[in-house]
Amino acid sequence: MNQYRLPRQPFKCGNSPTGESCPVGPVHGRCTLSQSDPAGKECRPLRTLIWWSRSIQVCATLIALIGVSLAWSNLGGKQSLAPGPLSSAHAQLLVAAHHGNNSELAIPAESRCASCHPGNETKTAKLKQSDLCLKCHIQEMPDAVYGSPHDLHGKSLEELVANGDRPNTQSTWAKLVSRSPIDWQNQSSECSQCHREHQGSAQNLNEMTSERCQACHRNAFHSFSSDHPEFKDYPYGRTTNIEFDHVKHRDLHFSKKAATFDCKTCHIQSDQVGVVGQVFRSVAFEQACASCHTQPIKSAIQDGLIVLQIPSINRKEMKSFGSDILGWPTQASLLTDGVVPPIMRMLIESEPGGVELLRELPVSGRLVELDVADPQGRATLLKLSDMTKQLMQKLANEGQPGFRSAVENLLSKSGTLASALPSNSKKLPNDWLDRFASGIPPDLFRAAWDEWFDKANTPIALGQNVPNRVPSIQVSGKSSGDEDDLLTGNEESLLNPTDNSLLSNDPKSLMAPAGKGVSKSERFKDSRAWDQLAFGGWMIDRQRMAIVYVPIGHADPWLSRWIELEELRQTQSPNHRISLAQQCRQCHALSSLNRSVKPEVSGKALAAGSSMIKKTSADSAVPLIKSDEPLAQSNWSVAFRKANQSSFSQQWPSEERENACWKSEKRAANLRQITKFDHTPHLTLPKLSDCQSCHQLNPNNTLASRQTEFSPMQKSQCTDCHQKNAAGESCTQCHDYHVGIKGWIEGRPARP
Amino acid sequence: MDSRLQPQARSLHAFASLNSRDLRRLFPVVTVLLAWLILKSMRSQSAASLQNEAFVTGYSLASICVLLMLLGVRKRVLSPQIGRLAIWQQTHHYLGLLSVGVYALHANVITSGWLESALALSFWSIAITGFVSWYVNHTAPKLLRAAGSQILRQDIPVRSRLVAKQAHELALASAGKNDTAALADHYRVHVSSYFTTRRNWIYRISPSGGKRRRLLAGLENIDRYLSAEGRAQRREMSLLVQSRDDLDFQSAIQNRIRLWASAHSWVLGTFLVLTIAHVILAHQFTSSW
Repeated sequence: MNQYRLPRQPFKCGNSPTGESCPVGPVHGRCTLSQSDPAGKECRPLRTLIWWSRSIQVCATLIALIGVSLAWSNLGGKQSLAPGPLSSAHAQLLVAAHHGNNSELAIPAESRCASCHPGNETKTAKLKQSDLCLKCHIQEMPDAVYGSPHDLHGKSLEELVANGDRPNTQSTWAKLVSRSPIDWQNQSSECSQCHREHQGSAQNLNEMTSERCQACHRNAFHSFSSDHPEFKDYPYGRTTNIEFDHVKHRDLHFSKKAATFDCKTCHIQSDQVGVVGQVFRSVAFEQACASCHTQPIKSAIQDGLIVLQIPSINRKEMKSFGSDILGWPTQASLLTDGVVPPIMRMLIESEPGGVELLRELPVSGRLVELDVADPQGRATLLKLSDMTKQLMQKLANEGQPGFRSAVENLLSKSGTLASALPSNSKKLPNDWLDRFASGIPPDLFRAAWDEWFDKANTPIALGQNVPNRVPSIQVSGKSSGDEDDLLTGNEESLLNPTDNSLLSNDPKSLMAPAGKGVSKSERFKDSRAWDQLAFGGWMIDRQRMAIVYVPIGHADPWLSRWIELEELRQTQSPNHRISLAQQCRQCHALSSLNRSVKPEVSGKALAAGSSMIKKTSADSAVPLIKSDEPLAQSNWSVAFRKANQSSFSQQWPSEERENACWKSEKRAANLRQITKFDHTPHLTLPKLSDCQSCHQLNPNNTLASRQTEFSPMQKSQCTDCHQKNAAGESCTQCHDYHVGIKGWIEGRPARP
Repeated sequence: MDSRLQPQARSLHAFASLNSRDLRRLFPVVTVLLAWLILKSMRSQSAASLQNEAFVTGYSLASICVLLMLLGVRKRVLSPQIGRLAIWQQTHHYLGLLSVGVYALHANVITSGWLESALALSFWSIAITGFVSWYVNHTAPKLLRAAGSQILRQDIPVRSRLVAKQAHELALASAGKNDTAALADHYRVHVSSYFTTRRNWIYRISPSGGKRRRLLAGLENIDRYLSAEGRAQRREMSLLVQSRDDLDFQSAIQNRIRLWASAHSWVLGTFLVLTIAHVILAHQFTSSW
């Protein structure tokens, strides 16, 4: 029998199987008997299971150590230490940079991890991981640099927290074991807290569980139907610049014409995709409105817009009181009548002494109310005639720049208007100003002067208080008052038929100089010019002694600018407003002057003094909107300001900016808001193909008293399908996290 | 009794009839379950508060692994001996069970990444060998008791040689007479190799009684060629065959126990190295935890 027991020795006596093992056993793997007696019986110690076990342990450990060391020392590439493959979106960046031809873009193997993980390299040593994320993603989420909830900061964040649910509803246990890493005060949260990489190439980094949302929204949402708050005024919180009475159109106008009131006709543009799919708040006029509204617009504009009109003054009566206006057109010398047109009023106001003149005119604007017997009345008429000539001379002489400068002078005179402009710009938008002068034909004014005042080339006695004036139009090298003056019909003038100007031998031109022995008015039929200006343009209206602009129809660019100017000046008196604009105001909510509507939240917030500072790594703090000046809080004025913000205007093409304040606000397709919705998958369902299944008109609402004529949507309309095992009910299906200031401002609903 | 109450009453009755032994068995299971639920809750809360929940479960798992390794220390430390080894062993078993549950909270069964995959492989190697070792230790005693008296593994070769020697002497004794020579012939042809050689590796992995039954049947078949004395010798030979089989069975079972117990620690060093590397990397490359 064995003399000893060797339960944990790596070697045992070689004679153990025979039962003749020695009492000592091997020492350090060698037989003591052999050692002590070399000539004795040889015994080779046997390895035990312990020896094998320890050997396996040591070998395995060494292999692990060598493997980890190799991987760590970059010989195997540190990517071998990655916990898993990158998502395809990120992996392709590293691969492309590695295999690209541009060696500057290639990322060395040892630096690929440092592309996203701050390491010991100089470039990334002092950065946080989120900083590295935003190096690429800053354009999509510029406000994410703050690392704050929903990328909001400042007062916007405070407002969000104030109106959101509070973290007070946790259970005691939950409070004990959890802590929120989000420090509201310091606004620090990392991208990787929600977006976990290295989960495989098919991973969607944007997938988020609802539990993550509930890190802050601590009212735990076990289900959408039971726990989500009821909708308040979704989705009708935003106001619109288009006045459209759905109920009236459906019940009155469409039914009268026996037409089908189909929502899709006006709200779906199949060739575009917007924020909510192919559904838009409004589409082009041509698609939605033209079939009914084109003719009324044409009818409204057929008389054109009087730009400049020769006032009709009874010279005979004036003479009877000892005053006269020499050189005044005969056609305008019979009666004292007419009104000063709105545009002419504005042009007069822009001139020196114009403001005073306008004050002297009757409030109604009707000249017949001026008492010729009164010396003041006569003086006013004399001043008016003088101002009229002055304007015509200026516009004929200076042309379009003269028109532009007149508008500029007018605007700069108005102190309140200056505050309505973007505070980061002391100048008016140039392209907006240019539109006032665009298309104006200076030669028309010259021709008008020629026709009405060409005989009055002598200094005019304008009464006691008005200085002499002479026509200031000059031909180069010729002095004023010379018989060879440009406007005297001299053959050498620019109006010579041999000239290639627009006013030359064209037999259709109304401005063509008369042939010999034939008066101008006798050459062509003096028909109503709008018959010949069916597509818009300028004309001399001899019947009304006016220069008239005939708009092209809907969305006339020139008329639009003047109406905008009127809105900005907040012209109150109806007599002083452009009458054609009434047609526009029927559909376009141009200002709050003609309807009682609550201002948009953004305007309210602006008035409250909130300010937003955008901070990027490159830019210093640049105020986007400064809001502490009092200004008209109409939707239109806010929209106008926004459209002309220099920072925003860089993102919009000029044609979009031009009429932006006339249109329903169109959100940029890439603009994120807290609540998102896409019509496209919903409209495929037969049940929802009828828009009114969700958007229900409420006939009890009136346009004057509310912001929308639709009943707010109910949560139950969504929970019918959005359940856990049906359409899904995760938070991120309908809500975005990365919103940022711009999305927050544009998407925040109006509050009462 | 009201039929609606019968299932509940049966449950209560079953619970009340539990003896202390059953309760002692239930207690650690319930404790493990409770601990796992607590950790799961902590993980959920950590995830809900935008923490990296893998750190919570990871450090929990690491702590459990350290406690598991203390059993090895306890076995090797002769003085002072804190607590009974049996209790240590039981605690080790239940902590092992808990560690698998916590691993499921920490990572997927199939991981990605070379380091993490190697770490997962080493963890599962240790866990599976541990489970098998536990099972073998749980079932082996009954088998060993059925195979005869207790005998140390080191003594089995000596006993086997002794049995072989006895069988050989018996065969020699039966060879000298005509009425018992059949036994000697049968021993020479069919039985001698059984006593002198080791069993094959299939038997050593999964011992069975097939060969023993064949040999015993073969010995019984030669009874008609033997006298009364020869049959007595034959019965003695059968007992020796039985003894040898018992010894081989004991050896196989005891080797099985030792092998799985030994395998349980083969990749322990690897696991430690990979764990340390994993922890360092996790802290180095994670921005928020």
